Amino acid sequence: MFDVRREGVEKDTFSPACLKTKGSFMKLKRFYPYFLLAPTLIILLGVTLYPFIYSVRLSFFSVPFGRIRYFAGLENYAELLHDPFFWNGIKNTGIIGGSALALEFFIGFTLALLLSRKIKLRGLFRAVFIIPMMLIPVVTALIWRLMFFPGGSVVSDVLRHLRLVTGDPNWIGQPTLARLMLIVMDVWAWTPFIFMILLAGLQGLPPEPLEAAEVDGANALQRFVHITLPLLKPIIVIALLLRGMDAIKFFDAVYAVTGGGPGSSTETISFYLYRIGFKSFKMGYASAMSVIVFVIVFVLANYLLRKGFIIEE
Amino acid sequence: MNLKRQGTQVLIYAVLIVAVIIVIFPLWWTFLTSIKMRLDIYHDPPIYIPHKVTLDFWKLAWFTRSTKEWYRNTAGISAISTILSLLIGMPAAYSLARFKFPGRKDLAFYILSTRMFPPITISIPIFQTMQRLGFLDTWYALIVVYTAFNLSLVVLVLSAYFKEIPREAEESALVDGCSTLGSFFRITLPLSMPGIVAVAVLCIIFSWNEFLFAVLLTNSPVAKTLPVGATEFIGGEEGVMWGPLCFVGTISILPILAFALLIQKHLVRGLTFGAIR
Amino acid sequence: MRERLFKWGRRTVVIVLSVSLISIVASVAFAKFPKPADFIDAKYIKEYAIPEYFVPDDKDWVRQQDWDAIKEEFAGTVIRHASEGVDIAAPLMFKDMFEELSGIKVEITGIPADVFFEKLMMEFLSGTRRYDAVEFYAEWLGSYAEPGFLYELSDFLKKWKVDIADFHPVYWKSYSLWDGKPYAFAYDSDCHLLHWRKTLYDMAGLAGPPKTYDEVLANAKKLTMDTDGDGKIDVYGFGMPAGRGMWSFYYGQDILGAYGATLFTSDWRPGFNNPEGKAALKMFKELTEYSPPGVTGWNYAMCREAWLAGKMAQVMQWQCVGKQAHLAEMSRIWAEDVRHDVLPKGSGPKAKVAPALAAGSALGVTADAKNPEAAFLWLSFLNSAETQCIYSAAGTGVEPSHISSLTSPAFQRANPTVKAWLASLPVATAIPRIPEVNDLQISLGIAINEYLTGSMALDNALEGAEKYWDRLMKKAGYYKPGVKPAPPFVVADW
Repeated sequence: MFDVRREGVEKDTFSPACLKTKGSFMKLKRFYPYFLLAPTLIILLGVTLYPFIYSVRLSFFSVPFGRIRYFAGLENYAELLHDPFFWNGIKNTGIIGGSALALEFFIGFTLALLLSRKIKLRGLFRAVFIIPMMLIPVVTALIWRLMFFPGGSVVSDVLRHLRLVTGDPNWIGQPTLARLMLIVMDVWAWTPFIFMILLAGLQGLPPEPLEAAEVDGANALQRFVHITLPLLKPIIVIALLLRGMDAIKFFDAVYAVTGGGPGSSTETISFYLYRIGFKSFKMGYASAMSVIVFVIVFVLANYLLRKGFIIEE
Repeated sequence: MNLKRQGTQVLIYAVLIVAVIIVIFPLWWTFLTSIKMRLDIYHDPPIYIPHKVTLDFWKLAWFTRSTKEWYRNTAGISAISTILSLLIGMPAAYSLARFKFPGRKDLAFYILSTRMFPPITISIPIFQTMQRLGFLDTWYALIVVYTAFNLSLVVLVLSAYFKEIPREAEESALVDGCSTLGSFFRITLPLSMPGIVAVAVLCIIFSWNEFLFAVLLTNSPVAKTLPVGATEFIGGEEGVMWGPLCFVGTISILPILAFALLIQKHLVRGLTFGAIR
Repeated sequence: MRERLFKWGRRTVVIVLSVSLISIVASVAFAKFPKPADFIDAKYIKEYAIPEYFVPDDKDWVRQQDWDAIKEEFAGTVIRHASEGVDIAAPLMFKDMFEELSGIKVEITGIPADVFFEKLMMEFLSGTRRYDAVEFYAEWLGSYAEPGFLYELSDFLKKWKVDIADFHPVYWKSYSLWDGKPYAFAYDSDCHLLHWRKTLYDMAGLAGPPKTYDEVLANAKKLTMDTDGDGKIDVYGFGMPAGRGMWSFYYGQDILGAYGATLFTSDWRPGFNNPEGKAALKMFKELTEYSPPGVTGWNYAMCREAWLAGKMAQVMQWQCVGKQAHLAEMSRIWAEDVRHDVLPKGSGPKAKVAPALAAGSALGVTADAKNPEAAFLWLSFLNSAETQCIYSAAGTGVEPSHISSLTSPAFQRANPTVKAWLASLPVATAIPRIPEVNDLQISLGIAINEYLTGSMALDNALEGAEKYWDRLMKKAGYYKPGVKPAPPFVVADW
């Protein structure tokens, strides 16, 4: 079918036929992939890893107002584990970020599928659907706040006209509604991200396997499940991972609209971190929190990846 | 059969149109708010069609603040950091996608792990480093930071797209006598154009709209970006100066939108496989 | 021959002397001092009968200085001023005039309000020496003065003969002094007031102003009404920012004080977890029930917008929204009879009138400024009695702190909140200016908001906040022996 094998060429090594050489040059070739990766790794090491390690070190000290007072050992961590705001933050991030991610994936994938077909004005639709990502996040958050603000809310007005609600829903004063509001904002702003990545993935699919399957008599659903999905798997995983990890940093909307309220129902972990690190300037405590968040994400991502998704061959 | 297909088409269009309305409406509202009279912005019921509009806020934002400089800075910093991340990240992505070498999984995971913590964590060390390097309030600081942040995106996403392209396509080119590099440029690159374009747009959007580091590392119109400038209309006595803020928001989209419209045809697969065979 | 030369010589000298005399007189006569007419809309000058100057010459620091001498010494100096995002409009108004007078060039940078605290802290901690003059919230005075980030101003104040006695003592003590020494000028001098719409009171058959919170509540119940007959309630009886964090704290402070609770007892223990505190917060919650929906998520901006749009009959807020209610370009209720009064007192044995001196901003010189004296001159200029009146009357929202400003009849005409404001100051309360302020405010504010939104019971909320404060103060060392006692709640007693 699609499996082209040529004699003498081993599929899984990196030394292509026209470059096979012997001797010391061959030895250098082994480092080729590392050379390609080197600039990336060096930059990442300098700009992200090194400061992060500095932060980790700071987490073992007590650093109120940015000045190191004393060595605290695991004190910050112990305090964190007993901190109700910390666990509340994790819970809220999970609820809000998780729901938003699921919706973004579902809607984004649907739209990408629809637009990978031949439709009139396809290009226009595609361009329009990626616009929400482009608006400055603080402006996005504030405009949505304006549209949700009880007493003149456009969203409530539209919903009333559609007969979906009566009265004036208290979007910013009621915990469930406030969370829903943030989810709507995130879905509006970030579905384009998933949409775009999946669309490009769908566009990049080789048509032959699909055509061959159609010839073989498979229907649309079978083609989708057995050909499209497996081929798209690496891209789906990346899209989910990246968007998921960004959901952990869910911040702008909370900051501009609810401030973590009502009560503490919309305080995400990122906002709590900001509150501790930048408002109270308790740098040691904030660093400890970052480390724990990192560990949680690390473990989760590791688990998901090892379950046989990406980098599996 | 035809009726069913037509029915499906209509349904699809209906869904798409609803989606377009939902996408466009907040943007339209932003634009509308930038020209509304101040008193009309908060009204119950909301005012959809104002009977009086004004360009005063536009003038305020453009002439009395450094909006032009913010625009220039944002465009320059985004463009440069995107180009750099693509140039540096593409080889790395290729390496992860095509070669098998010890430590591959771990290095890929390491690159992913740089996105696993909230950026606030490293904001202060970076601030201090930039201060020592003398990069504060210059383009350099943000270019370095954004290139690094975008690199992980570029590498991970592009490696997934590169993997999508079957080896055979590249190998047939190799057998035909070209080098690894040649096959990269002739085959891999064109076929992964949708992915590259998607990533480029994402990088630009990210650099354009980033706030935390922009506000910490810049001070004056020499380097201030649009997201930071926009916040000059928030806070203090006025609460939110909706007119100028929405104006800045509206014009901020325009260049990225233009860029996306220009390259959106590359979101489609360029060469077909048949042409190679 | 010699005689002729002598005659000509003399004539030349006379001419030169007269010309210079005339130009000196001219430059003094036409020297550009800040004048109301240059900055305030003509229609308001007319409406409020604002004369050439708000305050007399001898009370305005700007008109007292020898600007030529200053210019000689300082011409060409450049100083950098950090201003809070939106408030940048105010210093921008004056910097050109200042440069003309003094030769000092001012570069103004706006920092977004919400990252203001942390950005300044980072600049200070890293020693970037970026700013000579900074604006900051008055409550952070301790946070900046204690680590030594601000320049101590006594010598400059003396050298340039700034009339300290003209600063209202309440503002002088709470915005300028830290540990007994002056570190800042009061810039935006805030106070909480009760603003109420007499037009609506009359409509509901009520008499104001309310003197106790019980009255406020009773009136609020009657004032929550449907004014245009469409069956929907469009006016609510009350409103105030009660959002999470700072906002619930600020207004909590008003009500707590009114019922006789305090923030700190004299030995730095929390003073709000008691029957008075509980009664106060119960009233707070009841008031939210007669406020527009969403009130428990309101920050200052949201409350202000609702007030100016006419959504509530009474509001507990800063002075500025009271004044702004009268301006046609911002307010839908400008044609109504809007009144301003001192906040009411609570009920119970310890009840008293105790409005909060919340927020407000101050101007300081940084300790590592490159040109501290030039920066000081700029700040004195911005803070002078006349300049401050002009600021306020021009609608920037910045309010004066000079006694001569507040007692100027023209200013009182231009700003109808002044009388109530002056009456509030002698009993106003404030949180002590210690570095831990931010943390304390936010933690209590969050607890109050949890109670208001119904996610926590009152006792639990107060207890939680009390425990947090205790732990924080203990860790910061306030419970060790030999620590100075906490200042009293009422600022006038500091």
